[in-house]
Amino acid sequence: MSETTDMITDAATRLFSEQCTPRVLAEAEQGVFPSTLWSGVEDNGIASMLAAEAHGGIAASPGVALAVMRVAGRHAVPLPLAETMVGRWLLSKAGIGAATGPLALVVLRRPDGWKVEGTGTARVLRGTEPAVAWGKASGGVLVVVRDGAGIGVATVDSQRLKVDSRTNIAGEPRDGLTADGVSVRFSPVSAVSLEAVMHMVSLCRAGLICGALQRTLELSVGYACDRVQFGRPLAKFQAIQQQLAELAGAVASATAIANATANVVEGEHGDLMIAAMRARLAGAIDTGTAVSHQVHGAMGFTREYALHYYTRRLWAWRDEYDSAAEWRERLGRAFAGAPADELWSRLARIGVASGTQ
Amino acid sequence: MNLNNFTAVAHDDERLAPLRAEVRRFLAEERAAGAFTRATGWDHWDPEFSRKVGAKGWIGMTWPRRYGGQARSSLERFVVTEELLAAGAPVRAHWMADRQLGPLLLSVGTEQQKDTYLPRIARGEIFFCYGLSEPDSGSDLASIRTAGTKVDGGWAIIGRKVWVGYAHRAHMMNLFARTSPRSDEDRHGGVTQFIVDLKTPGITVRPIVNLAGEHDFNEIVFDDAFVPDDLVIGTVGNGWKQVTGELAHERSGPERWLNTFSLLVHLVDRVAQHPNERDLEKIGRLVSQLWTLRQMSFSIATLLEQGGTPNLEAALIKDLGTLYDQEVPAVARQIVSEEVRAGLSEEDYLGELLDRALYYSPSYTIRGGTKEIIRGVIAKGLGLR
Ligand SMILES: Cc1cc2nc3c(=O)[nH]c(=O)nc-3n(C[C@H](O)[C@H](O)[C@H](O)COP(=O)(O)OP(=O)(O)OC[C@H]3O[C@@H](n4cnc5c(N)ncnc54)[C@H](O)[C@@H]3O)c2cc1C
Repeated sequence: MSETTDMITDAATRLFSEQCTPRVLAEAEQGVFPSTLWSGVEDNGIASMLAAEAHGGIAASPGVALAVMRVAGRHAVPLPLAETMVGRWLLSKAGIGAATGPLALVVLRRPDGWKVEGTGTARVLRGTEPAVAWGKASGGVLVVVRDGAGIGVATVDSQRLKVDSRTNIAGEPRDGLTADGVSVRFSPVSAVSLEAVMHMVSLCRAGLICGALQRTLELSVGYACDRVQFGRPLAKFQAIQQQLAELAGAVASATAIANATANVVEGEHGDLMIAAMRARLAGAIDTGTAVSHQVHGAMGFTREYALHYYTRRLWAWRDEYDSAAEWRERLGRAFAGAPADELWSRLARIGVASGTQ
Repeated sequence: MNLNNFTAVAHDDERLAPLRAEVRRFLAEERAAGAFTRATGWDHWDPEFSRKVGAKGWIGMTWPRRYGGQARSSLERFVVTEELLAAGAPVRAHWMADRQLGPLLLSVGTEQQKDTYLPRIARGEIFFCYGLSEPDSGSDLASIRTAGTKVDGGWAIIGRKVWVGYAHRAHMMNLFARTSPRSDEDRHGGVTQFIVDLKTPGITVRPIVNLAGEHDFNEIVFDDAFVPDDLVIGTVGNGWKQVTGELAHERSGPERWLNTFSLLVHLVDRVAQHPNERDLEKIGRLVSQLWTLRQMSFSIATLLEQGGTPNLEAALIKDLGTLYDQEVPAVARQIVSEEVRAGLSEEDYLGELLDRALYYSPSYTIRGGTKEIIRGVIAKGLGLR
């Protein structure tokens, strides 16, 4: 397990540090899809890592996925990695097998947005999804919908959709996609719930978030050591040290809860743990973005200096795949619903019931 | 700058699960028998309860058997401790000796000291307080002036300590005193630790009433109090170095984030009776912080068990934990307005817990190293100083 982690994270580190250059990041924001980088992702087995071996993957554990995504987050990789990894995992679960190319992921969980009409395997897609990550650049959009007691998936070619190109505040594609009665092939997926899909994609995003937070800390510490004011490096000022300590606390807590969640995400209490993780990540993002900018002064407020690639992504990711507020409320409701005297035993039980390793 | 050491997952294996169940059974029985309530709190001095905990083998439980311990692991101690604290059981009487003095004696104490004190500490018969702070020395502990002067067969102590928790109830003190003058080359040298019997002639203990109106800390005057040579802990002049090994234990435990747990329980209950989105979200936020802290502490207990000294990680836990403990009463006050609080019935522990948590909240980021000092430790770990 840890050998696989090391191998694939080493490969990811090499790939991203070589190829995720400032230029690639800047061009991606101009709408250029980084195809060479994508090929590297495929060649290193990253995009399919969650899929079964029969479907071209390595059936990686959530913990391994988290570790790889942390590397990607540290390099602000401008690709739909979480979406493709989770999409291929689902297709593999559905027995459909290997897809090629980047995937967009639409988890239908609100009354507005797309509707999947009809029954059986031939269905019709109708409506508008306002913000689909890499909706246009991905060859296929994987729709996940509740179906009876379980879920089903369908892949649509984005060329069959009307596209309204948009971006999130990080400049990542978040396209509006409209379907006017597009026929799709529907496949039921057993043993995966809609919530489980949200959990897995939240976990992959958590890896990205932890990596980006780690990078804001590294940049901030580096900058504080280099920049001299009043005849001393900023790092020597206690006010700066205290702020960076707070930033380190944010990074450490995000990393701790994400690591713990990866181990139980597929277990009995995965839902609560994911909600707790999303809530805590939001707090860490608030601290991390504020402190790293403060320490950088005006330099961090430029497009030239790299900090914004991380902080803008963190701002966006905080509230994608449901907002932090929704996750907090969900967690609060789960605990308020049970006898208060059980609060402790529920908190302390999580690792017990589902401890995987 | 690797902050990815928090990797262990809180998880009860075959060793921990039955132990946790046993502690819970014990606590349920004690609570049913009226030994304590949810409103009591762990920071409450109760010798009788400490003796019961000692009889269960849960004081000094990681120490060798020959000194009255149970030779159990840090993780087992972690489980017992968090269960006792979460229940609000009154464990303060044996706390300092269990957490700090015992491990210190095990690492630097004499055979005679270990034989004399450890078994009695483990039985919950003898309680210690810690005398470090002085009127002119708080964060800057190296500046202490309470002095030990060599006399025939021992040391004569003259000086003054302040803020010493439960000195009026404890039997003994771990005293930090200067035994040679402070030098610029070695600011931290020349400090010696002593075991002091508080009944020694020449010692006066005076109460200092705290903000909550309670008497837990004290001023202690040493007016030529005699301490025999065999009660020097470790090496003369080496007191400062001797404590640094214990810092990870002192800072990373659940006592840094479980001070307000009973309040949270009652707050959740209150919100459940009148649920609305806004308050549920607040509860979710607090629970997510608590959960994260528990994962972090558990990870560090695991590292300690493997023999590591995760000082940076421990300081991070203290910083985040104490801030969380301050946030709980602050959030509670948003949910329970002053008028609602005044109207709560006396049987409702919520009011009492809220008052106490709020009163004590300023102390969390002061005691055991202030927030600023702890962040200085973290900054050092980041390579900034
Ligand atoms: C409830 C409670 C129980 C206690 N129990 C004990 C006990 O049992 N035994 C014992 O010996 N002591 C005890 N203490 C004392 C405690 O250890 C000290 O209060 C603590 O070390 C801080 O010292 P101080 O209060 O003198 O504050 P100071 O050191 O005077 O600090 C005041 C403020 O200045 C800041 N400050 C100080 N130095 C610096 C610096 N270099 N850089 C930046 N900021 C700085 C501090 O962070 C703080 O905000 C207790 C305190 C409390 C509140």
